[in-house]
Amino acid sequence: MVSSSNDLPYDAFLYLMRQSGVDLKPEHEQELFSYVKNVLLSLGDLGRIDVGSTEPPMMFIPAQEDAL
Amino acid sequence: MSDMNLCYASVRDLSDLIFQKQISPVELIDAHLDRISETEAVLNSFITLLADEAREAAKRAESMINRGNYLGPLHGIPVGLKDLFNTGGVKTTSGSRIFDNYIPNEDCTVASKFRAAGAILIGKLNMHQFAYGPTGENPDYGHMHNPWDPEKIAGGSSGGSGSAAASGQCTITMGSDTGGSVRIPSAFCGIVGLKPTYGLVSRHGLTPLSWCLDHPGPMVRTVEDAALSMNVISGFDPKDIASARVTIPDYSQSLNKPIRGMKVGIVKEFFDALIDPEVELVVRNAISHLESLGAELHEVSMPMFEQSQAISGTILMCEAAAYHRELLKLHAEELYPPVRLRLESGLLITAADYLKAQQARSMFNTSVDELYRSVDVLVGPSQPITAPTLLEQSVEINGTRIGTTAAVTQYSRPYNITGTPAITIPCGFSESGMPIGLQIAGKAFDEATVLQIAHAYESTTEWHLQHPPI
Repeated sequence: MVSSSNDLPYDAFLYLMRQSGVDLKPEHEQELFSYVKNVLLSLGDLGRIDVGSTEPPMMFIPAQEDAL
Repeated sequence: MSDMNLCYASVRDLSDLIFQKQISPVELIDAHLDRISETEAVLNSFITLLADEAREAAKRAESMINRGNYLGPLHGIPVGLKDLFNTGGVKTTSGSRIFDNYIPNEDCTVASKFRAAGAILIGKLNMHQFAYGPTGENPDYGHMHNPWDPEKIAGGSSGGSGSAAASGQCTITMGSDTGGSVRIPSAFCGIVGLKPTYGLVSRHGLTPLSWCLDHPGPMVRTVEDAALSMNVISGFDPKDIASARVTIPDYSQSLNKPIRGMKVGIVKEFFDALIDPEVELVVRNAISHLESLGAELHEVSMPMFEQSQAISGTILMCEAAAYHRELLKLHAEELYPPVRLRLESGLLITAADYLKAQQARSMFNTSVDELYRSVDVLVGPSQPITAPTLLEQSVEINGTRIGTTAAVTQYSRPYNITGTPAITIPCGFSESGMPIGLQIAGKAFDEATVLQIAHAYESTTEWHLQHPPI
């Protein structure tokens, strides 16, 4: 899980960014890497939440009888 | 009434004057256009000013009213929309030069409802690029400035809406709130900002930032103006997949009901968090004032408050990256660098993390719903600080340095997660003369109670009558 990773290897970062279609220029690469590491650190709280079997809110809205 | 007074008058007062033909919509629009020309060089609230169009619309409104076709309290009232609300025939940039030539074919639902109510669109308002930031920075159209001190931020992302309403450039403005973007600039600029229940006001025709966190809402100078705006813009919209089928009350009807015996929950964690002591004192005094009006105060706990940043941050970053993915491929170099960094970072968060954040959101919402079994509303500070200096990346609170974005969104994000209504109202000033806001949040679709308590406070204080020195 990316958000719980405290240590994102630079190679993995580059690979994932290229896979995502981001065009990394050398001057931007380092800045983004540093930013991403801070973001992941700040999202670390998420990894510590025990969500058990809680269902997420439904993104799929089933058809309603009155709409048929 | 002088031009300046017209620019600071409430919707109710202006509508009475227009209905009684003591002023014409043309005079009102002209007064506002004069006010804009006096102040805009400092504030930079607008991306597009519609002076000629507004004058023409005002003439049509005057003619309609003279023929006896008065449409209601918003007829002839000047409105400004954040520049991510689509407006037919008027460019809509989302705060980026990339969309400088984008002219939508049709109005978003909110614009269409305002037009149907006779309101006059005076311009499109400046904003943080793509609504992705809480400070009102914009390199393409210029940064927004706070009317109380132009060295300070107006807040964001709806910064132009905040500065325009606070400085008398518009009577009603609209913002959109994904992590606080209505409430942050409203609190910093000393006005009223309401984030309604998710689904109550249509998102159709607005540029999304995060589909499940975006809430359009009014930014105005009085609670009654928020209620009158909500009367016009609320309601089911089949064009918005998340639109709610609920009965819409007249939100102005409950404003004057007494609040004696109402149960007000003070969120303990809001005061345990980093907060400027001066702001805390002002907000605690405001809460005591509610008690003096007969409300019962109860301290309550929001145990997942600390996790709210991670929950909403994860959801927001993923959805923003997903929506703007093509933009990143084609126009990355043209984006404001901080916005680009946020968007690109979102691409690295996994689907599993996104869904975990949504699971945590369900837990968070259940825990907040539980609070409403014992109280009618939750109150606390709108902000931990007053408006920081423009372009300041971090702020110091009680000797601790913290990122500006994290600081200014800490109290707003919880209610984007819950999707429930939250309002900020002016409740005082700092020693340096900057506004401080009180946040009042309520149950889903219970805007009436939130507005009632806000109005009880407002009508027995005078903070909302103060105007910036500009």
